[in-house]
Amino acid sequence: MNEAITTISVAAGDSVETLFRAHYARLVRALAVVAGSQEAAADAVQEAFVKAHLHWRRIQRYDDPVGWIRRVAINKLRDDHRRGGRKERAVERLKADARPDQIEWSNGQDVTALLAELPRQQRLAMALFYVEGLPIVEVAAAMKLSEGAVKFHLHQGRDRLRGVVAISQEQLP
Amino acid sequence: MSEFDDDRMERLLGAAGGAFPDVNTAYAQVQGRVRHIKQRRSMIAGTAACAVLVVGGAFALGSTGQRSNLQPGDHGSLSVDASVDTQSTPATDDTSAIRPSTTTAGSGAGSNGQGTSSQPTGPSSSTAATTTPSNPATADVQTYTCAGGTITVRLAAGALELVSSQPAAGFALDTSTATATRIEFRWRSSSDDQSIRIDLIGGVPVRKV
Repeated sequence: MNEAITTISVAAGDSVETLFRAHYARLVRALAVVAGSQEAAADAVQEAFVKAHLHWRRIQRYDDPVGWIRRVAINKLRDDHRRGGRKERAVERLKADARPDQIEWSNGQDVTALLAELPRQQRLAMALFYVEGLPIVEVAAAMKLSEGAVKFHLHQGRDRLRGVVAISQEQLP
Repeated sequence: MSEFDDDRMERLLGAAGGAFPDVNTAYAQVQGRVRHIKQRRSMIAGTAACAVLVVGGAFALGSTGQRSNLQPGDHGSLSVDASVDTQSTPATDDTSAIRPSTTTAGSGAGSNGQGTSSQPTGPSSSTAATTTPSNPATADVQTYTCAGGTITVRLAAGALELVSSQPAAGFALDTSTATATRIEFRWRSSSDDQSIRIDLIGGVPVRKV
């Protein structure tokens, strides 16, 4: 599944627009899981594409321009998080409202609130793997971690989410 | 197939990721931001270029003025040079006394030019004309030129004073001396070395070759 989605290669002559149309939506949705807000994620991803646009002559020669853009967007989110900007406040607000026994699983906001309880690294690993559909090796490159560390984060994150899901389902009538 | 593939997790996290954003609108926003940044950059570059020109011009003027201000009471080089040029005549020889001159070093030695009726034509008349001036600003100011540059010297109160100095194109000041009895300038280019030395001997400025 992952391989099928993510092998959109950067062919010679690809423009920023081509990459944008191929990757923007998935990248925004993945980072929205991390940031807790699609608006914040879109802002970070757009800024990364703006930088790519401005330095395209250099970046197009990279082995993985999309990986570069992804890392820039992740760094932007991380910087915003450190500054305690609106992204963090959005996550904190959702987190305060979240209770596993009241989660509505069809509601994206509720799930986001639940995800906010996961450590950031776990959230990012799961978002890149399950939402953007990256293979583990690319998740590792994006997070600057080893593949083993990514697998550890995926294990931990999935187990915690599964536990919460099981609790919520047991409480269903 | 990865051990982590899990459709349920994908659905859960996909729901958290929200709806697919409008790519066209987003790309238009990116283009707008890029355009805005480029406009701002070009404006900054233009401003910086203007600033560099202004600062460079000011620096050039400042350095020119600094070179000509080796003695107190000096005048600006441009105005003084203009006044001197009006009375300059072809030089006769380098051992003569104060001599308004437009000759270059080397060419002045041994060349006997004809002075005008209003200017000194020989060593004796030159000395007389410059040591007993009624107007020091015009009579005692002399310009000496060589391939490396030009200096303007004034005789005031029995002492030499440097009025201005100007290196020729391609030359830069190497060393300079400006005392009451001697003014010496040495200019250097990438391939040449030129100097002018004026000594005050018996109250008369004498150019030494």
